[in-house]
Amino acid sequence: MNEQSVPSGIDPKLLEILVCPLTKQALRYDREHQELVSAAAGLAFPIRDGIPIMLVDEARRLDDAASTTRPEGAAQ
Amino acid sequence: MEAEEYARLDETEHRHWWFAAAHALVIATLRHRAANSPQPVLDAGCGTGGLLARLEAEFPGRRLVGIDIAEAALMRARAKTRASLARASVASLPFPDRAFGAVVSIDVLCHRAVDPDRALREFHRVLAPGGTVTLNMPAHRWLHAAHDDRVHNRSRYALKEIRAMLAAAGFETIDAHHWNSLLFPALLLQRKVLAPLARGPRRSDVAPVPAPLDRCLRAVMAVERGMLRAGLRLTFGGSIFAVARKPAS
Repeated sequence: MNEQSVPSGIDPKLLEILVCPLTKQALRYDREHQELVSAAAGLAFPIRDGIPIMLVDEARRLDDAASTTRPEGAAQ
Repeated sequence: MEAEEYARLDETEHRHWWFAAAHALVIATLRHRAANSPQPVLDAGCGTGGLLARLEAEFPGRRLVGIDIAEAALMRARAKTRASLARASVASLPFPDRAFGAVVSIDVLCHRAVDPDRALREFHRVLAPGGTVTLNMPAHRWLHAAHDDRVHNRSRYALKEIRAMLAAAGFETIDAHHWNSLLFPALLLQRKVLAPLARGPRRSDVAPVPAPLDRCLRAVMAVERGMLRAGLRLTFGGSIFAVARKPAS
């Protein structure tokens, strides 16, 4: 493993304190899809270039599967 | 802000007297009020990261977190600082209650896209009891100029407005004062006489200053900091600097 193998990895110290901006509830880190999932709000916040985008307008709605392009067999 | 203003800010803020002076006020406040807090410091509206880089140098080992609404600004900030960065709104912070020992927000709540009252309630929520909020805001409504339009300032503020906003959000104001007062006559001349006469595109005042002038202006700011430390409070100045506390109970 070198650092370049996880170019979009999120800062672990930041991950510890981030919550959903809407509900202020804990988030689940989906490492594979680089998203922070707020089950309570039904939103997935993308992480781009290692920076989490904690804006509701930029989040993916969890019931809207079509808006994401997931690799085959990667769904959990 | 206009996209071009981020490039200008990124290029200018580490060597411009105004930022040096504003950041010196923040550093003195944190050293005095939040030096022993084990909790991180939040720069709410960190822009291109100039303040975070300075805080990192001044407080090694201190946890620093920066948020901004603008992706372009955060990308520039990331190149300057190891602080944790997230894209977020000051009116809807992605942090739990009582997570920070101090919140700093420099010329952000004046932005036309920001609801300042909502943002202050959020700062209050994420601060630990006894935690400090430090604000800088542009002063004197009648001073509104091209600079304010370019950096998307909704408004400029009066001291009593800022005290009232802080109180409404649940803060106790420790100190709120004008600064950039000694250069105020020069600022007036520039904003109200020279800039309106100038040809060419309207710009912000964020621009490199020739080095000898910059050194001179830094010296003026140092004199002014001495005056502020000595307790002098003037009723005019380009900015308002406010420090307030979330009550301990």
